[in-house]
Amino acid sequence: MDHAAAPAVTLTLPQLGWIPALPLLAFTLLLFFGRRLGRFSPWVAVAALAGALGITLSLAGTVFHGHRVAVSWAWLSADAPVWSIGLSVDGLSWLMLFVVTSIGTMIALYSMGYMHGDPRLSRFFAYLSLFCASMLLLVLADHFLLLYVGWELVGLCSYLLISFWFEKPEAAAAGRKAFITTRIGDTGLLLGILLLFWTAHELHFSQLDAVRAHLSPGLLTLISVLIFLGAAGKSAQIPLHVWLPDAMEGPTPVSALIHAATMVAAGVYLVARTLPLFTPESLQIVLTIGLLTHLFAGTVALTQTDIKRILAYSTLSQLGLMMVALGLGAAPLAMFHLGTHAFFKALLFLGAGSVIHAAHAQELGQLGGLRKTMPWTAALFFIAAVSMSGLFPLSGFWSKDAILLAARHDHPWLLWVLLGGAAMTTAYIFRVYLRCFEGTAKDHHGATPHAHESPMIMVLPMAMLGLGAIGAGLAGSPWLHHPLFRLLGETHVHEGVDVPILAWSTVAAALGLGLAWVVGVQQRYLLPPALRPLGSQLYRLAANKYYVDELYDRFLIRPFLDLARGLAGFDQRVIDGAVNGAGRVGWGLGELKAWFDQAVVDQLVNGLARTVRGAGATLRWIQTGIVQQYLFVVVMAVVVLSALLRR
Amino acid sequence: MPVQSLLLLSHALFCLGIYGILTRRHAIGLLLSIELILNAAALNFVLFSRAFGHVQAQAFALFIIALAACEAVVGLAIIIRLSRTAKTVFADHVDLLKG
Amino acid sequence: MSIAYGLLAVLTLLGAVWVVTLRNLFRAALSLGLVLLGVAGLFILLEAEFLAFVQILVYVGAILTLVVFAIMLTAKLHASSASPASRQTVPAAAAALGLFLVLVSTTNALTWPDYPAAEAVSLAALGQELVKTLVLPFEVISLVFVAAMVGAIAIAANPPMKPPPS
Repeated sequence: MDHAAAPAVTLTLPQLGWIPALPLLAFTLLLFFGRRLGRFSPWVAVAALAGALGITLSLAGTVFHGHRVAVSWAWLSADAPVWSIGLSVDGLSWLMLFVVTSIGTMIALYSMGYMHGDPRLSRFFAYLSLFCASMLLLVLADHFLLLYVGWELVGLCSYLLISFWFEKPEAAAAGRKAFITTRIGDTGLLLGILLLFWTAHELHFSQLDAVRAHLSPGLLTLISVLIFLGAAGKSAQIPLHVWLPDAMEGPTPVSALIHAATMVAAGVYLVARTLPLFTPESLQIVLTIGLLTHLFAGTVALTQTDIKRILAYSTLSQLGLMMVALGLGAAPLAMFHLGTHAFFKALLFLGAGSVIHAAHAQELGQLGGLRKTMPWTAALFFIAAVSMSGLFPLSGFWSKDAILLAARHDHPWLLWVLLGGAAMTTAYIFRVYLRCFEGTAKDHHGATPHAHESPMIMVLPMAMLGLGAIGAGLAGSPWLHHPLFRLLGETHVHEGVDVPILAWSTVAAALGLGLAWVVGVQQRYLLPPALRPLGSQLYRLAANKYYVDELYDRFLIRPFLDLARGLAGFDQRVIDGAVNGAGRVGWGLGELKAWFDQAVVDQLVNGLARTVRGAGATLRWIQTGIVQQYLFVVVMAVVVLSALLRR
Repeated sequence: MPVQSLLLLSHALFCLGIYGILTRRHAIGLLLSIELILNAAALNFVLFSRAFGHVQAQAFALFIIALAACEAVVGLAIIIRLSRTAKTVFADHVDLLKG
Repeated sequence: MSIAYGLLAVLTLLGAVWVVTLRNLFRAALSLGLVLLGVAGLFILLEAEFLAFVQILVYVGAILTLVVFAIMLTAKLHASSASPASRQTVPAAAAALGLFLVLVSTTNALTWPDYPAAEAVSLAALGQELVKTLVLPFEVISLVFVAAMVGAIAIAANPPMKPPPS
C-alpha cells in the first residue's frame, strides 16, 4: 500500500466536463421535448445520471492512486487565471461525485415508480436532472466562483422540487421557506467569497493553504465563519434548520435526494473543502453548532409522529454529527459519515416513500404490521435502521465510531455526549420501524390493509441502496486498511477495531432500542410519578420543535411584515398624498388661471395657463402610465447627463 | 462648410422628431415623428459617407430605410388593430399598464 | 451649389416643423412627404443618387401611402373627438431644444474634413460591399422584413388569427 506516497500528478481529462453536462443535457431535452417524450422521459434522466456515474467510476483508478484530474476552459481573459471555468477531481470531490451520481441514479429509478402517472412527470425529471447537474458542478468546481454558481442552482432546484406539487399551499410555502432560509446562508457565503477575493485575491481551492499563511487569523476567522454560515444554511444547522422539516412537502424521492445525497451534503462538503481557512476559533463554532443541532434534532425526532418528519429531524441530527467531526478538524471522517449516511438515509426515505405509496398514510398512528404485506420494504428499512444505529458491522458503525474515536482523542467528555446522541438515534429510528412494520395492522383506519408491496422499479433501487448501507462502511474500515481515508488524504488512522468504543456504542444502541420498545411502542412511563409533569413539559417542548418556528414568526417575520406594512402605509398616505396634493393643486391652479386668463386677457396669456397646466400634469406624471411622459424624463436625463459629462 | 451645416440640419430633424414623439397624441403622429428621427440618422450616415469616402455608411443608410419600412408596417398594423379592439387611436388612451 | 443646399434645408426643416405641429394629421403626413423629398434631394447633392431613389421609392412611394391609408381607415375615430391638443408642449420643447444644444455643441467641438474631401462612393462599390462584407446583415434585414410582414398580417388580420391548436 504505497500509493499514498506516490507523487500527486494532475491529469487533464476533458471528459470531466461530461459529468455535469450529461444531466444538464437531459434537463434541456426534457424541458423542450418532455411532453413528446411522455412516458420515456424518466429514462433520459436515468441514462444521463448513469452516464455520469460511469465516468465517475472510470476516474476511480486515477484518483485512488492519489492523482488529481483537472480540466479548465478560459472564461474571461482579464488579468488573472482566476476567471476560468475549472473542474477538478481529487479524493474529496470524487467521493461526493460517487455519492451524488450513484444515489441520484437509484433515486431516479425509484421515482419512475413513485411518480408514475403524475401529469408533470417529465417536468419532475427535468428538475431532477438539473438538480444533479448543479450539484455535480458544485462538487467539481475548482474555485469559489463556480462553486457558488452550482450552489445557487442547487438552491433554485430545491425550491422547484420542494414546491413541485404547488397546488398544495403547504408545498408552495415550504418551497419558499427553503429558498429564503438558505438564502440567508448564501448571503454569508457570498460575503465570505467577496472578502476572500478582496483580501487574498485568490479563489482557487488548491491555493487555500497559501492563503492561510498570508492572512491574519482574525480575518480568517471572519471569512470562515461567513463560509460556515452558507454551509449551515444548506446543511440546515441551527439556527437555519427550519426549512428542512417543511421541505417534506415535496415528493418523497426529492426528500431522499435533498436530505441524503445532495443539497444538505453540499454544506458539509463546502466546509470540508475549505477547512484550511478555518481557525481554531471558527472550528469551535462549527463544533458547537454541530453538537447543538445533533442533540436538538435528536430530541425533536423522538417526539414527532409523521414518519417523514422524523426522518427529516434525524437527517438534521446526523448532519450535526458531521459538523462535529468537521469541528474536530477531521474532514475525512465527516466525509466518510456523509457517504455512509447518504446510503442509509436515502434508503430510509425511499422506504418511507414506499410505505406512503402503499398505505397512503404517513402518521405513525395510522400505520402498523406492514411487514406482512411489504416484506421487502420492511427488510430494507430494517437494514437501514440498523446501519444508522451504528451496529457492528454495518456501514453506520464504521463512520460513527470513527467520529467517536476522534472525539475521545480531543475531548473525552464529547464521547459521552455523542454516545447519548447515538442512543437517541437508535431510539427514534426503531420507534418508526417498530410502529410501522411490526405489531398489528390498524384495521379500523381502513388504510393499511390495502397496502401492497411496491413495484419492482421501486424495490430494486432500494435493494441496491441496501447493499450500500451494509457494505459502504467497509471502505473506511480497518479490515481493508482504510482505502477511503487514504483517498481523502488522512494518514493518522486507527489500525484495528477499537473494542471499548465498539462495546460502548453497542450498549448505547441497545439502550436506545429498549427505549424505543418500552416508551415508543408499549407506551409505558419510565419516569417516577413525581417527575412526570416536568417530563411531559419537556416532551411538549420537543414535540413543538422548541418553538423555533414560532419564535422566528414572532420576532423576525411578524415585525418585518409590520415594518413593511407600515412603510407601505406611509407611502400610500404621506408620499402619495403629497404627490397627489401637489398634482391637484397644480391642476386647480392651472384651471383657475386658465379661467382667469380666458376671462380677463383672453387669448394673449393662454400660453401661461398651458405652462401651469403642463406643470400640473408633470407633477402627476408618476401616476399617468403615459409613455410619452416617461420618455420625456428619459430625454431630459440624456440632455442633463450629456451636458454634465461633456468634456 | 456644408458638413457642419448639414449636421445642424440633421440635429434639427432629430430634435423635431423627439419633440413630436413627446407631444403627439395620435399614434400615427408618433409614427411620423419616428420617421423624422430615422431620416435624420440616414442623412447623417450619407453625409459621413461623403465626407470620409466610406462605403459602409451608405449601406447602413440603406438598412435604415429598410428597417423604417418594417417599423412602419408593424406600427400601422398595431394601430389598425388598436382602433378595432380599443376603439381609439390615441396613445394616451392605451394605459392598461397604469398602476 | 450652396443655394441648392440652403433651399433643400429650408424645405426639409419647414416640413419637419409642420409634421410635428400641424393638428390635421393628413396634412402632417403630406408634410412628411415634403421632408422625405427634401432629404432625397440632399442625398442627390451628396452624390448618393441610389439612396435618393430608394428613399423616394420606399418612403414616399410605399410608407407614406401606407400612412395615408391608415389615417383614412381610422379617420372616423379621431373625427369624433375633434383635433386633440398636443400634450406637454412647453417641457417637450425645452427638452428638444436642450438636446439640440447639446448635440450642436458636441459636434461643433470636433474638427471636420473640408468638403468634399474624399471620392464619392460609387454604386458599384456599394453593391459589392452589400454582397461581400455586409452579406450577413443584409440577409438578416431581409429576414426581419419577412418577419415584420408576417407579423403585421397576423396583427391586423380580421378576425384575429387563433394560435394553432396544441
